[in-house]
Amino acid sequence: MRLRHLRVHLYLGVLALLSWGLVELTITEEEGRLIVPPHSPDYFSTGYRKWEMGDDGLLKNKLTAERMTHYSDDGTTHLDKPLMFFHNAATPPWVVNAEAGILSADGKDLRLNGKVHVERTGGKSTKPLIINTTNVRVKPETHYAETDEWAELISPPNRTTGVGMKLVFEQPVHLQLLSKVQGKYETK
Amino acid sequence: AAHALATDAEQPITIDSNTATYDDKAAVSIYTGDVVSVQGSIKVNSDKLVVHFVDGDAEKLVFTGNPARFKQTPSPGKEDIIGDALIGEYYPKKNLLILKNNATVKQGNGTYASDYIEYDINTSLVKAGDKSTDSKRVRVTLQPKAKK
Repeated sequence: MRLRHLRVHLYLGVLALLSWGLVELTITEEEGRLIVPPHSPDYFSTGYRKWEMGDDGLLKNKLTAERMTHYSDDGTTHLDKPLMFFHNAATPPWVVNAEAGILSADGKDLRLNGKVHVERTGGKSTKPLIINTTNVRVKPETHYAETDEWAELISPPNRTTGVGMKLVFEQPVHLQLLSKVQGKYETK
Repeated sequence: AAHALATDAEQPITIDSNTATYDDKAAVSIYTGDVVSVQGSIKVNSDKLVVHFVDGDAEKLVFTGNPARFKQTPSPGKEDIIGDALIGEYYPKKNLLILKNNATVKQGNGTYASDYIEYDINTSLVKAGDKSTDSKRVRVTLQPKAKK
């Protein structure tokens, strides 16, 4: 009689173990997911290069960066050491480099942080132009850039500086320095 | 130290102003607001200055003011030559400053007034009036030297 009791308890124990195992297995995927901290990247790339062609099939602009990181929560793209080329048919490209950049989700607003260097070499009908400034807000689609900081415009041998700048970097270039302007022109 | 006439023309031109605009298409830079332009001993105060470029060189500078004022020190210790006008046009490569509209130039004991005065910044030669028209009348005032 005692042996039978023992066998029944054994079966019940095994049954309990089996059902506990099944329960563990069927934990829904929901509870098992890791808690991801906010504003974390969903993808990134190192040695990043992006070419964009115009409707005419010609190179419109090119972007390279040491590292590109995309964030899923706000859709922004963060760039380390971005280097951009804005091409156009008439003149040499505008080359813009900065320490860091953040491109908005819709790609319409680009904030360049730290030192920013803008350069266009001389061409048939254009003089070389160099702009040094910091912390620039760019609207790539309309080739517009602005900063509230000190800016320097060099068209050798002439040089002009000021505080606050608004720039249209597309032919014809239009640049405004907003205050404390100092210009220097060589005459001979 | 102030420079003599001869070296002024070789100095760079420096400009201070409130704002500036650079326009590639028109090949001009426009300075506005309390504009002070200096080249050697020449100094011009104006409300606005437009620098016209040809092949990247400052070819012509047009000052406007109410009036625009200029001064030059011929040589250290000598009396400044001063002038003013509503419009001033400066041609760096020709060392020529043209004053237009209510223009006056004071040089030593002489004062020239006309609507058109040419001033050579190298030789400080003043030519007032315009042969081709009577409208640019000239009035010259020579102050008698003080009696010793």
